[in-house]
Order: sequence, then structure tokens, then C-alpha cells
Amino acid sequence: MKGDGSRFLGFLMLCAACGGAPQRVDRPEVAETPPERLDEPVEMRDPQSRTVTLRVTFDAGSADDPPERLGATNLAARLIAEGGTEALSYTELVRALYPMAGSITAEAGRDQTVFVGRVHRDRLDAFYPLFRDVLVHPRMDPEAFTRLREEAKAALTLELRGANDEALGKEVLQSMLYAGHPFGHPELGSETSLGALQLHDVEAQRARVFCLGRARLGIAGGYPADFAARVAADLAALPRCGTARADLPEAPRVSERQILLVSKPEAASTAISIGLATRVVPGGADHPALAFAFAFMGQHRQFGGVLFRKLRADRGLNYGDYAYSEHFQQDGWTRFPLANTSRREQYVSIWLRPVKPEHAHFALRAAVRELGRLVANGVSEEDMERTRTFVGRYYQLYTQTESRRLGFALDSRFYGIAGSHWESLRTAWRTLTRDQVNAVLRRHVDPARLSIALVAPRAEQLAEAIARDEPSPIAYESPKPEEILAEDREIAAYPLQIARERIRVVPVAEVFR
Amino acid sequence: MRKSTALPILAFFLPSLAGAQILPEPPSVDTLPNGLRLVTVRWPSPGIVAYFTLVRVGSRDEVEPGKSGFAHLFEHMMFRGTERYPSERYERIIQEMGADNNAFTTSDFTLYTVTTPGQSLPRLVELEADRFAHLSYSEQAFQTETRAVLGEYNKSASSPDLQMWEALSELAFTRHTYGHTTMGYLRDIQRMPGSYSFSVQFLRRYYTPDNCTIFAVGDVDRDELLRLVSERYAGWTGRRDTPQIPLEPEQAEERSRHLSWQSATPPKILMGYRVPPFSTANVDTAALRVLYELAFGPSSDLYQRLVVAEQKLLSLGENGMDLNRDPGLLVVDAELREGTRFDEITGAVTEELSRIAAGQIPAARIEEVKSHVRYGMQLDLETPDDVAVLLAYYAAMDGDVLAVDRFMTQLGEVGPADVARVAREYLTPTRRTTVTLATGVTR
Repeated sequence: MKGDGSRFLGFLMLCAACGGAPQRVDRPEVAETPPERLDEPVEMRDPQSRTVTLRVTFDAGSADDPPERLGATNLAARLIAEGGTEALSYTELVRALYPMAGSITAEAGRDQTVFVGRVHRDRLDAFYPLFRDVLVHPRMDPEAFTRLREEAKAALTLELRGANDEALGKEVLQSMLYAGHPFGHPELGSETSLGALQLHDVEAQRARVFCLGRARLGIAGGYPADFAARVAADLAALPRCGTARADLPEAPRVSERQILLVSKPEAASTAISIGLATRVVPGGADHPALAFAFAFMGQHRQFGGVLFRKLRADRGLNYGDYAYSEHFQQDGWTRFPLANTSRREQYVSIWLRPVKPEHAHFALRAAVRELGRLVANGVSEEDMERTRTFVGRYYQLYTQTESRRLGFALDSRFYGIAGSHWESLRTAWRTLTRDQVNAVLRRHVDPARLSIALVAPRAEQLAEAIARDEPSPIAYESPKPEEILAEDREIAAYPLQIARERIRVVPVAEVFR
Repeated sequence: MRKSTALPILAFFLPSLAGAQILPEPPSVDTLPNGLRLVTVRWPSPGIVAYFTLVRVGSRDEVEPGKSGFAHLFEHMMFRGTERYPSERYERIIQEMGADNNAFTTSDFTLYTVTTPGQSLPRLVELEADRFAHLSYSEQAFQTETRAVLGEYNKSASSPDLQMWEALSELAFTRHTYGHTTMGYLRDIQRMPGSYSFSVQFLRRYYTPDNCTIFAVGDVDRDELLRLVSERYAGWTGRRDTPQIPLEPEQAEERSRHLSWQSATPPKILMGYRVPPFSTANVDTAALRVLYELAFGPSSDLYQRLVVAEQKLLSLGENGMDLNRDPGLLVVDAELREGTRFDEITGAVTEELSRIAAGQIPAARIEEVKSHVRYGMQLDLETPDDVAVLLAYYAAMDGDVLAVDRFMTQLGEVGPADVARVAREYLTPTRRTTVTLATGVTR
């Protein structure tokens, strides 16, 4: 275990030594000692609704994994939701839920975990005891543990490494931003750690982190008036936390640009993720301006962003290009964020969808250069007003479903935001000034300190080309306007200035070992 | 541009099988003189409207050799603007609306999906009418967009699923255009830049008012919207072309192929059974839908045995069951745990289907499935988008905008004998095409 564990740490060593001066912390205070009782539930009762949604969040995530038990929190959450109850085996639970199409799911993040129950209001009486027992009387069944551990292993070592280069790039980026930090490993854990995890580890983790003092309850939909009090009383049977949650250390300060190139010789294209850890979290004074600027740069899966226009619409380099002011997970098939993935620390990022390998150097240069221009030149008055109109209206679409509204309300609690997080953002954007946006960009986004994750074939060759800042001219199959060609010449010669020793090439099989 | 389906699977639609009782009031259906249909549904969604345009063209219509993937490419081209609203101006206006603007393509249809705060609806109708009637793009813009399509292919190609679906389609259909995926062959995508003139033909042949239906769902006034749509789309003309899609001969024996994957992957299997086209004229499609749940859903005996108890599989039936306009495939997917053999899984599936074909499923179990579907539908239909996609999907199958209602009626009629019969008639080994895949090993 020790040997394998050190391999994992070795992978993270790329920026383990990247120290630096502390910056102003822009994040909410965390309670020193969690009270052993639930906060007042978040209620969104709507007698017209034909559904009921329950969300129980815990201030717990993979950041709480013990050092040699990476993945324990995620596995505990899965085992609670998908392992049956003391009264019912998992098969019996599935069959009890099936005729009512009720669902009980768990999603563990880096810093927050949520259990979600949904059912038609007509079947709430039959559904609720099942939901309650899943949370407070989970079966913690050995066979279910084996099944879920093997699923987690396959998700990490087969799916992530072998079948989803974009997701792999995003995870590798986070491992760089948070080297040596509790956010530095995926929720799934590591291959070695998953191999060693035992049921008793997961049971201990459940008792330690999915406990009353870390829980928040939210209920929405067509439920009876006295229902919330009943649920809150039942949740009192959760384990007691006993101790306060540890403070989160600050993310390491990356002093200059660095690249981690995952070598995947068989890849047909190159996945690119770029990022920088920040101290800006929702609820912080600088967050509205940062969110505004990154929406301008590239709102997720929308087509008006700077990056999308330049890389895809003008040049046809790939399928899409987006930017994020904080961690973002897409909710199903929508273009909106998944609720309850809150974190005490955040990062900004750029996601370039895969490009042809011969365009990787050019695309990387284009994105880094564009971010540099944004920070240096700021947002223009015209772009300011156009983006203000866009985000003010578009963000209304975030809260269309009962479950998302409820989840976001719980996120507001996590961040200490009074009222709706999205509404407070829209309110702040109305009066935001160009100077504020540009000052926040300069304060928190330093393009000289970017971390870059690439999943690429011919990785060594790309590493050398980047290190030498070789020109990366691009050719098209059709004529382009002179202004694009002129800009291409600038991009092709744009100095990334990343020394070879700041570029690490890692075989894909070694990632998250 | 915009995302689209690379694969002929639409499982995300399928848990929701709506019916007459699903919508609080019946949709209004209006047909303009040029053949364009407008379906309006009032749906509780304060201030938000889904304005979706269904075009009944998909990779099924790609009959010309070397032109696979063209319906999907054309979906991208629809965002390249008009003379009045060039693409940058179009995008700028969409941004000002705060709209969520996208589209996707399948084997049978293309759906343009705009969701917007309601105050922008009049402007949106104007924009949409303009781009459907007056799309205009240069050859350079066309060529640039073909490279974005290649990027989309590359994005999907890091997963073995694309290769598996390509192989399954090609193997199961020797003549019909379901023999290629919606994304198209890579060789055809690479040649797309030279097809500008064909793209112009494609627009004239399929982007016609009689081939399109608008679904407007949410906080919308039908009379006002009809007035707007009638006015804005009045000048749009044209008649849909009818391509000669080759008939696929009946399949007489089982087909199979094994693929190797160079990266890490769990062994995977797709088993596609030849089934009849979507229909509400008889109970068969509804009975197959029930059968799929009974045999492969999470509460099924097979799932509980192979995934939960014996732990031979990592997953089963994740993709759900797709529907098709023409005779297509009912596809069962599974991911194997290390040590599990492919023939163990095909054997178990065959055995389970034989048990169902023998009529051994109790009526009460079938009622559970129907209950699951009804409740699932109610839970899944939350937003205007959910409603618009559901209606459009079923309308795309047989052309009737109320097809989903008739389908739900048929679903209510499904009994044990129907399920047993469709299992006997369609889900037999001789009608099966199997594709397996594993890391670097040819079996």
C-alpha cells in the first residue's frame, strides 16, 4: 500500500513545491464546531406540484477521504443509496420503488454530498419510509460493497482512462491545481486505494462524515404541511459527528505555467483543460464580477462566447470552447449546472473540446492568449452591456425544475448566502461596472500561473514543441479573411514560455494509480 | 453547430411515455397554408417558453453514396445565418434574449431547440422564420463548419461506443440507410468540405414547411403566437422530397462481429434485434416497450441476477430502447466484469427472452411496468423543454403530432399475451446482430 500510495503522490508532485505568498481569502467562514442538530429545513412547498423532492446534503466529500482510503466517501454514499436498508435488500428496495418510479440517488463531490429522493405526491407515503431507511438505517451490505467498489474501479481505470479523454483532462487539471491538497484526487479515489478499501473503512467513513452535524435538509413540491418536521425528526437518528470538520488548507500557489501531458498514443485527438485555483467562491464579494467575465469568455454550451467564436465558429478547430468561474458539472442533458457540488475553494477553467493533434499547440496558444488579452485589456463597454443583458436573462433558465431550485437553495446555505444564489448574482450584475469586472480579473486571474492538462497522442513530440515555443502555423481547406489569417500568425508565434521541466508527460495507465 | 447525436440512441427520451392524461389540457394544433404545423401547449413555467422546430429529416434520408452524416452537418449549417441576420448578428440577438439555443439530429429527425424568457418570443419567431426560409451561407462558412463536425466526431471517438454502434448499424442493415450512424462514416465526414452544392440541394429538398412542425410550450398565448407564426412564415414555400430508401431484407440468421479497442475498457456487448417500425396502429411497439423493461430494466430478474447478485455485469440496458420510423433495432447493451464471457451473457439473454415468449410473466408484473412508466412520465415532464421534446419525438415517428397519446393508449392495452407474442415473433436469435468489444483481443 505504501509503495503504491507514493506512486500516486508522485504523480501529484508536479506542483507540490509550488509555494507562494498567501492571498486574500474570499470565502465564507466555516463553523468551528458543527452543532449536533439540523438547521431549519429549506422548504419549497407548492400544493400545485404533483411531485415531491427531498434533498439531504452533507458537508462532506472526497476531501474528507482518509489519506490511504481515497474514494471512501464516494463509496460510502453509493453504498448507502444502492445497498439496501436494514429491512430490505437492495433488490427488494429496487422492486419497492419500481412501480412508483421513485428514485433515490447519491452524488458525492469534492466537498459536498447529496442524497436526492423524488416521487409522485400520490406515493409519498409509501416512498418516504424507504428514503428515510436508506439514510438512517442503511444495510451496508458486504456483497453490495463489492459490487460498488468494482464499479468504482472500472469507472476510474477503464472508463476515465480509456473512454473519456475530456473528463480525464478535467480530472487531471484538478489534480494539478490541488496537488497535495484534499481536492487533489478524484471522488472515485485512486486505483491502489480502491483495491485496498474494505467494508469497515466505508462504514467508518459513513459514521464520520454522513452525520447529523454536517447535514442539511431540503424539501420541495406537493407535500403535506407537517412533513418537513417529520423528516427532520427522523434524520435525528443519523450518527453524531463528534468532532468538527477540519479546515480546508489553501490550494498550493502555482508560481508559473505548468503542463501535465497524459500520453495516450491511440488517441485520435487532443483534449485540453486549462485552469487556475482562486479564492473566489459564490457569496464572496468578487464572485459576481468573475462569473460575469467568464460567461462573456464562454458560457457553457452556448455559442456567443469569445472562445467559441474564435476557435470554432471562425476556424472550425473543434466542437466547442467554454470558460468557467467555478467548478461546473452539467446536469444531465441540460446546459445548466448540477446543484450541490459546492466547494469551499474554487478554480477558474477553460475547456477546449478535442482538437486534431496537429492543431493542439495552436489551439492551446489561442486560448491562453485570449485569456491573457481579457485580463490585460478587460471587457469593453459594449461587451459589458451585451453580456449584462445575456446573463440577466439566461440565468433565469437555471431554476426551471423543482429539484434544481431546491438544490441551489441548499447551496446558498453552504455558502452562507441569504436568499437565492442566482437571484443575488442577477441583482449584482445589474449594477456591476466595467472597472469592477476588470479589476477582479486582474486580482484573481494571472495567466502566467496557469495549469494545463492535455490528453494527447505523440505526447513527447508535443511537449518538446511547446517547450521550444516552436511556431505552430495552421492551414485551412478554404480561404479565410485576412483578419483571421493575421491573427493566426500572432497566435502561431505566441510564446507560451513553459520550460521543459515544467512539462510532465505521464502514461495514461499511470494516471490516478 | 450545436451538439447533436452522434449515436442512434435516444434513451433520454424514453423513460417518459406521455399520454392523454399527461398534459393539463390538449395541445392546440394549427396548420398554415404552406403546410407548416404549429403545436401549442400551455404549461406552468412562469415566463419561459420552449420553441422547438421539428424537421423530419435524419440520417435515414441519406441515400446518396458518400453522403452519410449530411443531415447532422446540415443541422450545424442552420446556425450559419441569413442575409438579413448573418451568424454573428443572429448569435448576438439570441444572446440578448438570454435564450438557450441548440439542436440535435437522429436517424429519423432533426430538432431545433430554443428556450427563452417569454418576452423574447416575438423576436424569436421572426428570427426562426428567417433562418428556416432564408438560410444563406458561403462555401467558406460551409467548409469551416465541416471541420467542427469532424471535431464532434473526434470528441465521440475517444469512447468505444461510437465504433460499436457503427459496426452494429453496418452489420444489421445491408441496404437500408440505418446502416450508418447519424454522425456518418469518418471517410464521408473527411470529404464533406467538397459538398457545398449538395448542401444547397439538401436544404431545398428537406427544409420545407410541410416537413416541419413547431412545438411551442410554456407561458404562451396560442392565438397571439398563431398570428405571429402565420405572418412570419407565410413566405416560406417548398415541398418535401421523398427519397427512395432501400428496403432491408428480412434477417434470416444471426450476425456477429468482435472489435478490439486499444485503450482500457470493460468488455462491452450490443445485441440488436430486428423489430417493426414504430406504430400506434397495433400494440406491438407498446408491447416491446413493456418487454424491454421486463427483461432488462433495473427491476428485472436478469438485471438483479447478473448485475446485483452474481455481479457478472457492470451494467445492463443503460441505453434504453429507441424507436424508429422504419424497421429498426431493439438494442440491449451490457458491460461485462472481468472474467465474464460474452456467451454467458448472450445465453442468459436468450434464455430470459424464451421464458417471456413462453408466457411466464404474470399479469401483475406487467401492471407494475405500466405503473412505473406512468409515474416515471409524470416525474420526468417538468419543464417546457421536457414536454416539447417528448411531443416532437413521437410526432417524428409517424407524423402525427398527437402520436404520443395514441401510443399511451396502446400501452394501456398491453397484456401478457402481447408481450409473449412480440418476444416470439421478434426477439429471436436469428433476428439478432451482436457486436462485442474488448481491449486489444480478438475473440
